[in-house]
Amino acid sequence: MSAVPGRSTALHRPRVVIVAAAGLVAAMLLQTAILPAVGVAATAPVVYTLIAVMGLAWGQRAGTVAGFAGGLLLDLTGSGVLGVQAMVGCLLGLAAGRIPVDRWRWSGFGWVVLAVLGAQAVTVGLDMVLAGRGAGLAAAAVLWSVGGAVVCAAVVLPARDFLRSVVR
Amino acid sequence: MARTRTTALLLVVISLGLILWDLRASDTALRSAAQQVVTPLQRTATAVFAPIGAWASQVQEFGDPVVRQQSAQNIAVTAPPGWRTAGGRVVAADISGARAEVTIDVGSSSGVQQGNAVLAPGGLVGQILRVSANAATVRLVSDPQSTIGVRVSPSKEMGVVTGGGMGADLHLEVLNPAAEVDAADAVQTLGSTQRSGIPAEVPVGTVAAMDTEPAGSGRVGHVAPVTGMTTLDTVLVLTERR
Repeated sequence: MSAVPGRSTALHRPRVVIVAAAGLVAAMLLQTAILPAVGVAATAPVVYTLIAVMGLAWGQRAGTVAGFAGGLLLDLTGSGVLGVQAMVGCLLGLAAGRIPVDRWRWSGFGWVVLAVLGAQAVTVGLDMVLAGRGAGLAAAAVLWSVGGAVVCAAVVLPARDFLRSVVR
Repeated sequence: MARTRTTALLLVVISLGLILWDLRASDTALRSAAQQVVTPLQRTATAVFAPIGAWASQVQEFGDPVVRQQSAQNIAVTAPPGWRTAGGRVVAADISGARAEVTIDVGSSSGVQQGNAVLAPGGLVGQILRVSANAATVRLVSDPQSTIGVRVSPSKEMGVVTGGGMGADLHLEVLNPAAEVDAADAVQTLGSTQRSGIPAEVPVGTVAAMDTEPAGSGRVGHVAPVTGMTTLDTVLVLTERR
């Protein structure tokens, strides 16, 4: 963790909690209510992307906790098996904390997209296994996920510096 | 570093515990409580942003006279006579590949019960899966886990319609291998006489195509649902027979 400059563990904890809570609730609303309302036809991984960027900005520990909280929020308001997205989210935050980044605004873009897609795939897979939803994925759904992850990462990743500065 | 690992391990164990607990008990109290808090937020967000979606779909469908005529015809959701109803709006959706469920903003306080039929302009779109006080989850007919008993007109053959996932046609299995079922035949619910289930003869869709070869024990085909599942807006829940 100390290998990356500027990612020290000295976070202002109350601010992390407030910023994480506000951000995750906003992302959940965007993903579950706003995007479907404006006619985006499939689930874009907004919350997972935010979790990954939080892990990038705040390091593994805060990323893990934020990921668990965000995943649990999706679990509680969604319809899958409770705890699946919480587990995937916390592992995603943990992994994102290890992504190497430099000063470039979109640095780590590929890794974030990969991590989010991996998380998405694990969620769908676990959901199929645990809830017995046997049907294969429609090609359209896969395309939407990939496109959604790319767009989300492009939009959310520049918030990394803001997230980092706001909790000091 | 060690603290990070401990935290991660602890949270993963908690998640696994939640998964096991949900698989065994499937307790809905926790979810109802969360929905109580979140549904008003989702409702507000949907109300604010829905006009943009409506505008976008109008722009998209502007040139299609069939769609324009249909939308003019189907402004009101019509219910079969003799049913108490509750009108609601879709406020959130979970329409990823393996799932097709939406949340509506009416619940047990409006009489909505598990198993109720959910109608949109044109016919049946789903069934109530879970209910809390002011919100309910609808399993759409396009969900891979949804199965609905149907009768195909005019041949009156019985069959089963299952979901094919987001955006895909519904899957139809007709019981009789020699059934004379063709494209454009109407598909309606078998229904039951229960107080709160799906009534008989509610349109589910129209046959889009039948496979020519008879499958093992019947015939299979595709059904176009009564309306696009990704553009649902106002729905009507049939709560109870009068």
